[in-house]
Amino acid sequence: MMVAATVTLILHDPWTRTHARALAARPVTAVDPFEDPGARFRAWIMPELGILHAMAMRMTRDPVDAEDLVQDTLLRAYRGIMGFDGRYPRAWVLTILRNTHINRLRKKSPSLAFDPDATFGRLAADEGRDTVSEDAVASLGDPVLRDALGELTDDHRAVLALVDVDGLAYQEAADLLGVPIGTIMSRVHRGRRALREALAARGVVREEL
Amino acid sequence: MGWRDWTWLEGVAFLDRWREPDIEPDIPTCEHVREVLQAFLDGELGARDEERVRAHLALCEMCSIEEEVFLEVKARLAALRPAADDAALARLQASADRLARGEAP
Repeated sequence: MMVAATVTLILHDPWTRTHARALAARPVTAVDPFEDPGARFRAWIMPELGILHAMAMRMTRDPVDAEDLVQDTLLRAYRGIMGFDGRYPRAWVLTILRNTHINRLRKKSPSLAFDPDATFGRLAADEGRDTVSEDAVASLGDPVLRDALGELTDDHRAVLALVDVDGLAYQEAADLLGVPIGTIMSRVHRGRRALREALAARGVVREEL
Repeated sequence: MGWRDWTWLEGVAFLDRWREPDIEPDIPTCEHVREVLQAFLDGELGARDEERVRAHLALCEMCSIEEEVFLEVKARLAALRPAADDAALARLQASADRLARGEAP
């Protein structure tokens, strides 16, 4: 009875709902089974290497920089892992990736040190303009989609790149861009509708009825 | 059942039904479904809202077409995913292994 009540409470909690997709993907362990940082690192962080590298490529647009950035992130994650409870490891490690990236940018160009907005703006702009609409689209040759994506705002393109191209959950995209999850939700909604309209105008998909 | 048990969709549907009592109970309107359709397709709605959207889609031809269109848009975007750089990944994997063993990366 008590257990049922607790389960109901957890399932209906707004925070749990927000993380529903992450929860489904990886069940929450009530008691942490790992005492050892190496075992935690293997179980929680190493499965995310692929997404970390893909995100680092989006952020730096340079293979060497991206690898360095992931190396730094792994080191920071390893150092902090005993203070982490194991819930939503991907979101956790993406937050570290973002912070590491911002620190590296500041070291490279100190002018950014006092203007965090410039850094975030750059991240969001880089994501959309350069990676999705030029590199990726050009290499795979979907000229209609490329053209249609050009009509979207940078913010919308960036969020669609993370959610649709890279397959991140909303919470993960929010952590990576440093914006609230509601912002991601509304950008996905508006961005995808704008893209649909642009594709419909090119006769690729049907118009809204 | 406190107010926290209410999902966003239920809240909006309740307010609408209160204004217009003729609306079918428990199944959201097209307008509501379009509002949450993207989150639904991304698996980001809670279980109860998801069930309600499914109930609506089962009855509504127009919204089912919308669902198909947006699934196609999603699939086109997913096809843009760049190929993984296997050599870089192997190097990162090796250095992560060293970290996990407590050695210097």
